[in-house]
Parts: sequence; C-alpha cells; structure tokens
Amino acid sequence: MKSKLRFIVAAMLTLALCFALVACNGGDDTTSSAPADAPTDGKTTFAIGFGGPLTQGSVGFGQGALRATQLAVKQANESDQARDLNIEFRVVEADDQSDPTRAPVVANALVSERDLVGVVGHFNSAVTEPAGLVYNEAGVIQISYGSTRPDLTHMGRDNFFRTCATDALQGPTAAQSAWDLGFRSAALIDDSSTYGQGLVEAFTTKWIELGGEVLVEESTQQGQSDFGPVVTRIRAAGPDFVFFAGTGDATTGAGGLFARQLKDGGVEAPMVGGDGIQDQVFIDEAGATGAEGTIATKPGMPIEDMPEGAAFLQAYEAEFPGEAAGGFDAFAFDAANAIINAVFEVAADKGAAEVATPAGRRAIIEAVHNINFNGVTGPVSFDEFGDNNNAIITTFLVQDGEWIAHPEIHP
Amino acid sequence: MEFFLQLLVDGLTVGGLYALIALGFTMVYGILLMINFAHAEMFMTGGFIGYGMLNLFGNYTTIGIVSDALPFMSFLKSTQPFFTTTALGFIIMMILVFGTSAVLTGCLGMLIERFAYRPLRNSPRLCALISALGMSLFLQNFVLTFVGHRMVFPTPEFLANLDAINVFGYIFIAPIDMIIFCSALVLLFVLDRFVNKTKLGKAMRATAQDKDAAGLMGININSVIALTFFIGPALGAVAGTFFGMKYGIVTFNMGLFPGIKAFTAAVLGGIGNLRGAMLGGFLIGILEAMASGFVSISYRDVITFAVLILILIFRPGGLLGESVVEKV
Repeated sequence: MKSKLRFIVAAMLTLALCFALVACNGGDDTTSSAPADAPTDGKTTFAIGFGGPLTQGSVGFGQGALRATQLAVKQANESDQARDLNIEFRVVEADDQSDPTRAPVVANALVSERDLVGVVGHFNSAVTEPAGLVYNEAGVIQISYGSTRPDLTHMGRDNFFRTCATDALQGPTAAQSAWDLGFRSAALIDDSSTYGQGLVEAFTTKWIELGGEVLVEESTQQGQSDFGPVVTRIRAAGPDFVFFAGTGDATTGAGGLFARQLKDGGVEAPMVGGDGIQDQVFIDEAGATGAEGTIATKPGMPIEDMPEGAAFLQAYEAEFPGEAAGGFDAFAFDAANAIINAVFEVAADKGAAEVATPAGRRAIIEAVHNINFNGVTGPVSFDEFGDNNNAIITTFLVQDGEWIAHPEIHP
Repeated sequence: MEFFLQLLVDGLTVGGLYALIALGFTMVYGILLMINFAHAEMFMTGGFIGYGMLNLFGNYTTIGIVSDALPFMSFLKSTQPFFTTTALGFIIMMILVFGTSAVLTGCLGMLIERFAYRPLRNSPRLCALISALGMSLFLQNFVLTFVGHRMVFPTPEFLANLDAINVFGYIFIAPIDMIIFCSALVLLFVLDRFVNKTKLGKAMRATAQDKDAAGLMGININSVIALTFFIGPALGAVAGTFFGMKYGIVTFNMGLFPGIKAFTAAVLGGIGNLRGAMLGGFLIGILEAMASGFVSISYRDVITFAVLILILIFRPGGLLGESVVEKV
C-alpha cells in the first residue's frame, strides 16, 4: 500500500514537472488552429485547404504560410465581393509534417471536404508531388507556395500551379551570385531530399559552366545532427564556400546545425544555400555566430520592397502580433488570393451554388490559368505549365542575426 | 595524419554519447533480457529536461515568462549573468542542470518500469517489447504535443568564450567536446566500479545471472530492477543534455538515430556486458567518423553495419560478450 502511494506521488511530481517545462517553452512554436466557422445567415461557405508542415519538419515555413492564408481568407471575407455574392471562406488545415508518406492521407482528408474549392499547398517538393496526385484525380486546383523543384509543373497536371520561382532558376542564380562574390571553389552538400537533390543539380550545372571548381561532394541524411566528419573533410579541402542544398530545421535537413558546426570546426568559408534555409529557424538553430555571413537565394523580392508589401506586412502584424512575415508567407498569401479571385469570378458567372461542383472546380482551374492581379510578390499570372510568370530570385545574407538582401548583389 | 586525428576526435566525442546511451540498453537487457525501445526516448526526455533547466537559468526570455507566472522565481533574473558568464557559476549550473535531468529522467524510467514493464514481466517477452515500443511512441508524442517539436538554447557566454583547443595548429577540439568526452569517461568508470565493487552492484550482477535464484538468496529483485531502470535513463539523460549542448538544439525525435546507433554499439560490444557497451559505443563513433571522413557520409551506415555483421559472424556474442546458452 505504502509503495503504491509512493509511486502515485512520484507520478504526480513528474507530471507537474512536465507541465512546468511546458510553461518554460511557452510561446515557441505552438500549433495554432482556426476552428471552422459554422455557416451563418444563408451564406454559402467554401473551404480553402491549406497543406504544409505544422508540427514537425519545416514548421517555420508551414506555420507562416498558414498565417498568410488565414489572413488572405479573412480579408476576402471582409471584402465587398464576398458580401455581394453572399459567400464566405474558411481555411481547412492539413498538417503534412514534411513527410511524403503522410501526403496522400492529408490530401484525401482535404478532398473529402464537400465545399473544398482549392488547396494552398504544399511546402516541401517531396510532399507536393504525391499530394498533387490526389488533388489531380479529384479535379481540385492546387497552388503551391514553396515547392521549388522544377519538374513539378511538368507532370501533366493542369490543376497544379505555384506562385514561387523554381530551382531551375534558383540554382543557377545561386551559382552566379557565388561567382560574382569572387568564390571559385565549392563544397557541394545536399540533404538527400527531393528538393535538395534538384537544387544541387541545377546549381552544379551552372557552376561548372561558369568554370567553378568542386572540391567536395556529399549527401547528408535527413534528421542527421552530427556533421563533424563532413566538416573535417571540408576543412581539409579548403573551398571558398560551402553550398548546402537542403532545409534548415533540425528535424529535416538540419542546415542550421551544419552551419553551426562549420563555424565551430574552424571552417572560415561561408555557407551558401537556397530558400530552404532562408528563415528565422535557420538562424535560431545555427546560433547568431554560426549563421553570420550565410548567403541564401530565395524566390521573390524582399516583401518590404514591393508596392503591396507594406500593406501586407501591416495587416499581418495586426492580425498576428509578435509574428514577423517571412519565409514563403507572401507566396502563400498570393496563392490563396489567386484561388479566392477565381472563386469570385466563377461565383459571379455561374452562381455560388455551382462553385464547389466538379464543373465549378474545373472553371476555377480555367480562371486561374487566365488570372492576372497584383499580388504581394508582384504581378501574379501563370504560364501554360502553371509556373508564375513573375520569377525573380533574390540573394540574401545573414547580418547581425537577420536576413537582409545581399548588399553587394542588390546594391 | 592530422586529418585522421581530427576524425578520431570527432568519433570519440560522438562515441562517448553512444556509450552512455548504450549502457542503458545493455543493463536492461542483462537483467530482463528485454530490449527497452523506450530508452532512446529517455535520452530525448533527458535532453528536454536538461534544456528546460538551462533555459531556466540562462535565458532571459524564459526567466521572464517563469517569473511572470511565479513571482518568487524572479531572483533568477539577477543570477543569470553569474551562471552564464563566470566559471564557478557555469559549473554550478552544469551540476544543477545535469543533476535534475538525470534524477528526473531516472524517476521517469522507474515509473515506466513499474507501470509498463513490471505487469508484463512474466508474460511472453514479445509483450514487453510491444509495451516498450508503445512507451516510446507515447513519450515522443507527449513531448511533441505538450512541449513542442524543438527547444533551442544559446550557448552560455562562458562556454562560447572558451577557445577551441588547438593541437598542432590543425586539430580542433571544441570545449564542449572535451567536457563530453571526459564526463563520459568518468561516468563509465564510476558505473563500472559501482557494479563491480559495491553490494548493490553485486545484487545487480546476481539478478542478471539468475533472477529467481537471486530472489531466493534474499535479494529484492523489484528494487534491483527499479535501480537498473533508474541508472540507465539517468545516464541517457546526461547524454541527451550533452547532445543538446553540443548541437545547440533538442528535438522530439532526436532519440531515433543515436538510439539505433547506441543499440548497435551494445550489440557490437556484447549485449548484457557493461564494458562491452562502453567499448562498442566508442568503436561505433570512431567507425562512423572514419567512414564518413575517408569514404562518404552516404556510406557511413553501410560501412558501420558491414563491420558489425563481420564481427558478429566471428563473435556472435559480440566483442566482449560470452555466448550464453539460450534459456528455454
């Protein structure tokens, strides 16, 4: 009896500690959820699916893009068009955890929503591909905000679009930027992901063409945390820079940990990467000193430089105090708006009741093919394959613990 | 040569962590003949508790949140510089952090043994195995849901200001690596003495040899097993906290790879044998470093496991393990 009591006390103490720890970590990466609003006063409600990593994987990107989608939907619901047409949107979240095997599951969950009119998603190229198969079969439009692998738009799926530029552009731009900065020899590291391999290929082709030298080629594993031996090899080879094609967060590509270990291991050469590392998570995990001097390319221009940017940043800040818009948020915002605008168009044309039918969904896809509006990332219109015509790559640099547009490349 | 030595340093540090985790696997196997799959999660939980404590002592943001909720904790604000910048403060902080993490994780290990394994002790071994898998999933998802998928902590200033030890102008030994390696050696030595020289250690060895006979000789089997489930996770927690300090982050799934590697280390050294686990841990660490340094990191696991298979062909019981006749 006594020993039982001891155990219960011990159990309670342990639980109490766990909750204390929860409190310690409060504010960091809590998952948000927007409850679906019940349809009110005869309004027709449409669901906009959001797919992205929300609890594991590239969470920083996923959570940000979700907030941007929610903001777009909120603004749409307050707009005159929505009132005139008597329609309302809601966001349905699907957490793919950056896991390709989860993609069909969450995609099917989204497709099973009766009033689904389109999907904003997904983030990782490896997830976007299998999820896209489900949306394609269901005839639902899918607009990715962050999948940069080039061949995604060339799989014969006419329901697939993306607002971001691709690695076919990003890889060469990164190579050109590195060359322009005076680098001549490279260590090429990819994180074995669909995205990383695509990016490193695009980069290498251009790099060799420019006449650059490749000293080390390596593929790390997903979820790996120790890069000691790779760092040692890189230090022995002594390249001008280390090109890392992969994601930054520790649960997938671990670019942040890699950058930290490069600095700790005495490698002076800076890390150059793609959009996978261009976010705050990378800086958090690399530490301020580890991240300092890292260069990364990213589709799009800095939001604050865009005509619509200031209004977006202001609305974002007002809606989500304490959260800075970054990563692919602007692309998600534009993706959501592309769907919303198309829905308005179809609803005005055929009536709200017809939008969420197969014919309506088909009409949405057609409408997005012909869409043209001024988004946060610039003019949004798509080519025949579904790629954004407005494809710009910006090179960023970490200075004093923050990503800024690289002053030497974007004077 | 320098290249080789640097890889050796890399390997020994990681190997030290593997050895600490491997002990937990091997101790439990030695006594219960059960592979405790939840042990990798003890490593993870220990890392989170250690990191929570580190943040509590050294991170203004966390201290702010805590002292808003519990005003009496606000004294931490004034002690923060002492803990993070001075040598004495840093050492005290380390003792507090590692002590708390080890004791709490040890208690958690005992709890798990009491509720997840003890009721199944006389069931087929498969049941305990599945229970362990379940525990592992439960802990991972518990941490993911209630704590978050990761926790970061800026390196304490004192540690960041220490220069890397530089041998021959080429070999870098980071201070934290030095601390990890030395602490691992000390802990392994203490544990070895404890098991081989003390009465409790003798009781543990007796229980490992034959549970029932040991019980008849007046050894309290339950408390010996509970003790095993305290020591293993406590060592795992130390490894987890070191892991976090080395890489600057703890994540809810960080137990996966080190867990598999440490288990491999335990098998390589001869599962059930303490010194074997220590040896295996260091060996696996060095092997990995050499394989990824001289060949390629993509071939790291291929080479490591090829060596494991080779060794098991010639010594099926592992390097230091004795081939035990299968108990029926």
